[in-house]
Amino acid sequence: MHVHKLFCAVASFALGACSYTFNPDAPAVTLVGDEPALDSFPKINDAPTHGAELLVGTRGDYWATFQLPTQAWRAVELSPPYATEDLIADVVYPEYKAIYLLNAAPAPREGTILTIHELGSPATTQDDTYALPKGVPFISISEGGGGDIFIYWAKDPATTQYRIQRRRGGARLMPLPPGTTGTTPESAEFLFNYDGSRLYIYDGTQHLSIHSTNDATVDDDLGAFAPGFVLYDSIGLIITVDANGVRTLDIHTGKPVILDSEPATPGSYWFTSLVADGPDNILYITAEGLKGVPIDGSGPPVLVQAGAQQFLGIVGPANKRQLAYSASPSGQLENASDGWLQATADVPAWRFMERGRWLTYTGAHLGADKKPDPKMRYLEHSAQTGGVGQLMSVSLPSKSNPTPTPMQLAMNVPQYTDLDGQLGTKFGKGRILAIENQAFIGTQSRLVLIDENAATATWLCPSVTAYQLIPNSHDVLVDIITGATGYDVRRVPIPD
Amino acid sequence: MRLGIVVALLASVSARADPSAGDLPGQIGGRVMERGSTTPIAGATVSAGDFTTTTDGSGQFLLTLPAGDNELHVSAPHYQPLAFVEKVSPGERLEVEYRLLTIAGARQYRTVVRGEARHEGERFTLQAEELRQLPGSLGDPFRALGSLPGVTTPVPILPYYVVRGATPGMNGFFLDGMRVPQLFHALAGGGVIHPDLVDNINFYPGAYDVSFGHYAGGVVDAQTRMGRGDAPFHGEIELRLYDVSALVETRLPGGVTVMAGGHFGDPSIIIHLLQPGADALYWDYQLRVDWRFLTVEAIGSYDYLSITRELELLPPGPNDTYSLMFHRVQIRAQGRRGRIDGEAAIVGGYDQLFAFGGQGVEKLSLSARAVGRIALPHFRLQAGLDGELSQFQALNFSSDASSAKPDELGDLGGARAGAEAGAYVEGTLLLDDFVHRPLSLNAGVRADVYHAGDVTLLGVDPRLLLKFQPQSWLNFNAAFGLYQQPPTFPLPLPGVDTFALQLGLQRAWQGSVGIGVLMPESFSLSLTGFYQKFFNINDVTVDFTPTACTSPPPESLTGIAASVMRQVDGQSFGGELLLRRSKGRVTGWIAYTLSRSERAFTCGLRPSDFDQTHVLNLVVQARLPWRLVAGGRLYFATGRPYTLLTVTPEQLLTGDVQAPVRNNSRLPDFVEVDLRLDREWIFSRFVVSAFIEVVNLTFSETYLGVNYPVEMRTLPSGQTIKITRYDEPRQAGFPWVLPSLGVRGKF
Repeated sequence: MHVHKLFCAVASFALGACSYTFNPDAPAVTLVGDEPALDSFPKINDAPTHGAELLVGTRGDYWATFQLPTQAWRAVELSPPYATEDLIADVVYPEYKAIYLLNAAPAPREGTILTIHELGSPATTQDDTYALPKGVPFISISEGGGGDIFIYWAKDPATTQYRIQRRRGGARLMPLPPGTTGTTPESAEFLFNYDGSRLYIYDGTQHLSIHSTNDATVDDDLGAFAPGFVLYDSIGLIITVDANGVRTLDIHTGKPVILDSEPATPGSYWFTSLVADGPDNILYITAEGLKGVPIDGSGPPVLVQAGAQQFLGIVGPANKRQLAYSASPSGQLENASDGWLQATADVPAWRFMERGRWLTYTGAHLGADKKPDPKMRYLEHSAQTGGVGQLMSVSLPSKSNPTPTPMQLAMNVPQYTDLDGQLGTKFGKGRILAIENQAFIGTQSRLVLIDENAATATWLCPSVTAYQLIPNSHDVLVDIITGATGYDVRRVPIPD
Repeated sequence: MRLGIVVALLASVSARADPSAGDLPGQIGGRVMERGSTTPIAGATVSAGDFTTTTDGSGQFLLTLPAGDNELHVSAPHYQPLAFVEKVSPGERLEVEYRLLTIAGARQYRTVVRGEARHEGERFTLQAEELRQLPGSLGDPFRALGSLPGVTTPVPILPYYVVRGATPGMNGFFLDGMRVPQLFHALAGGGVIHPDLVDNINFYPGAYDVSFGHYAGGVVDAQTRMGRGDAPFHGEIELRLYDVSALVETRLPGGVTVMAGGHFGDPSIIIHLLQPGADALYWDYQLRVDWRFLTVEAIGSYDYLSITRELELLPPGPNDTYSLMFHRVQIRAQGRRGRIDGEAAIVGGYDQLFAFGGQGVEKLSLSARAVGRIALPHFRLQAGLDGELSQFQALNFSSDASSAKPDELGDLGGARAGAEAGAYVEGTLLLDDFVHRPLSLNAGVRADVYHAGDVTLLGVDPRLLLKFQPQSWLNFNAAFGLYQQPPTFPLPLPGVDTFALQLGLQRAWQGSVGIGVLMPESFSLSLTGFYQKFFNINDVTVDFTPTACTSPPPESLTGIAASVMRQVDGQSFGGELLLRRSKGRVTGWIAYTLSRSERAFTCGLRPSDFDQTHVLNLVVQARLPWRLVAGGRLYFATGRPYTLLTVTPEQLLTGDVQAPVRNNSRLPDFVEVDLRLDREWIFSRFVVSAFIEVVNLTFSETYLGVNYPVEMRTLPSGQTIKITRYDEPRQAGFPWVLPSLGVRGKF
């Protein structure tokens, strides 16, 4: 009996213990659903890998390519018949529409054998093969030309020429650009234009030249340019933004135009249209702030925002476009910055972001005035290694609410996608795809589908470190960390 | 044989000629002092036959004796007595100064204790003087903690201790009642308090009463001593290979005593011998002023460490620098009236932490506390209040703005105001009269509130302690209670507290049962069993094997805090043995701990990263002739757990990899032998001592974990690939030895 009383006494005493947490700031978005089993998602790889790249095969469908633990690469077709190809070479360059395979030529030959393979091509099709001179291969493949044009440079002291090669055409042998030697092609930069018909070379003497990739009809020196110039190939302009102001040079006529003679911060330029259907402007930073001028010189330069140091974007409906800018210079805080909305007639300037990045605007792809309550989204407090931040969503300020309260959608987010913008509003429904809980690379992070209106985050897949949307589908290809020893690549559907 | 020095300074202060002088008595007067210092000995007995007197507070005495030879005896507690013959001339006064030699091992200064012990619970009390010569402690009393039962040192050489399986950040440090963020300098810098300033250190490994709050692990409660007012000046200076320390004491008019001390250390020279690329510097200071019931204290500490990025295996760049700093100023009043006594204090503080790529935090704080006690015949009541207001701010210490990463600190760096308050009441029922043996039951409850940002935490902790002494040589104790603590960084650091309150309180239910036995020859034995159940504690990942059954980071944290902290449940249990001899020429102890600490990882309940099954400390000090003190320490600890990945290259290539359970293997056991030799030379008014100490004489290796070699392998296809050999783990560690040589002078 005494033991019983003693027990009761001690138990009563212990029950007096308590612990309470009062937290009105608990997350507004609730994680819903159980953690899905990883095995429920098709695994693309057999051996550990990550960082799959999407390529287009000969049938126009998409393939995931990734490196195996060996030097071999594997390509897996993402639509029927789900073919698989293994690609083995000394060096592999996956390009958008083809894979470049470099192998040392078999003895006794010297040099390099380049094979260009298109995924899904019939077995009867012969890959393009090129026997290239000896030397360490240096290859630069045109993106604009669909991967069909490349330059090849054999890094060797004896090299005096390099090759511009068209897969379905001829080749040009070119002299080494000034400022380079046979072993230092990296001293020059090689840039193909949008269709691969032109090659721009910024050589080691800081001269820019233009060359035809077909023949010798165009081989022009465009002059000397300090680093940081802009090559605007589609309108045939070279734009410089530096201490001499903002200038353009017509590539075809050689006509120079001074858009603004006020010194500008080198390399600080953005292109946008400040008003709906207006001319393209170049925005740049001067001592006064953010200035803008029509690229075609159709208007004078104007001070867009005094004190601004960075252009972040244009938000708002077409008839009320607002400038989002930063008052802090770029290149600091791990490329995070503060964020401001320009004052309008209705609302004063408003700092919506403290130290963030990756500003997106949900109305941008629609014509904002067609979307109810469009949002600005960004990663707040991301001035840290890796740029991970808190995914915030906030309405545009209005006269009745000049400083709306942001809503935190997810924490420790390295990547997010507004599905409306990528897959259309019918499927997107205002939802956001995001990786959250990734303060560091680890199995704790997950892919979620956030519905801001419902304040829910649906758990799509655990242990996701990166993702990419698979074109022509509602699926994503995800990198999954599997533990200490590697990654897997899986395919995860986005629920309707 | 005279062991003291008798100085006949002068004779004849009344040398007037007197015809009847031969019948007159004479007088002998002067002072009794401690040999080797300027300390007068109060209460010393000076006697000659039937004539006896005692010295006053300044050591003065006057004795009237018959003329002629008188055999004088001079004695005082803790001092070797003197006996000799003095010739007293009739009608004259002989002025003398006697200097007594302290008994080896006795306390060389007084301990000022006001009132009863303020905290209940099983504790180990260490006296500073004996600990200054403790082998392996580098002369720092606080380092003795690592040799006590219930304490493990996860990374030998670093002064971070794990108590009964809890996280280091769960331990609390109190100095004269005020909370301090650290008691030790980083690396080998020793304690942040001058050793001679430390009066005693009480170590509570767990299950203590409600008078200690805000911590869910062990508590170290150190007391400094009051400056001596017995002489115009006392002083001490110590020079070591890389460190100088000094302490001065003086008295001022009106009974004011002042004591000031400090360290300055620059161990870079020593570090460069072992590891070029790292620099270190530290200093600390202390000031204590006492006047009647009032004590004013100021303490501060600074640590600086700079490491080249090459040493950290990082790309070239500016050195990574780290610094820790704190300052405290306390005004404390103590008083007693009849059966009631109390204490109140107010503390101002400034903390600063600088780390993580140029980022840092600073904290300004103002705290106060008060405690009152009533002692009745069968009941003691104690109640107390404490509170702190604090302001935290992130700092960018980097001169290169482009490299600043303020969000790297995450929750540690957010500007915030913090407030915390606690109150407790406890009663101790003395049942001696009922059971005719000493028996006491202590019951108490404390409530603590923490607030930062919009989050508020409340914890109520009941605790119960029982002590029973059935025989004069035998005692039992048992304790049980709840111990709650706000979220903490796993390592105690300045300026890092009152953050991330959204994680909720850390909770530990603690229980212990102990038995103590007094044995002949000044031996004592204590045996303790303990069990602790942890909930929601803030652990740290020591095993850096990535992502193998780790606990996920708290989802509401960001930055460094999220990377380092883990919020887990767990438990620890074990037994502790302490066999100690505290008196005699040979003293020391054997401390053995058998324990298990576990955490609830995602793959189940597994050993904690801190778990060390066996920890043995054998400490011996011997007082030898010629005032030599030799000491040795043997330390043995089971290796920490780590997660072994048993993946063959074939499995790696095929992806047939199964995640192992966490902490499925252990690092090698660690054995350390420390030796120390002290020699003291006592002169009339000062003492010079020299010591040589070698810590880790065995050059044992401290293991941090394992890494895996990478090799090139040629496949059947002829391809050569780079592959990590997870099946060939290599223990990553470094052997070390820490020699110390120094000389100390004091008066």
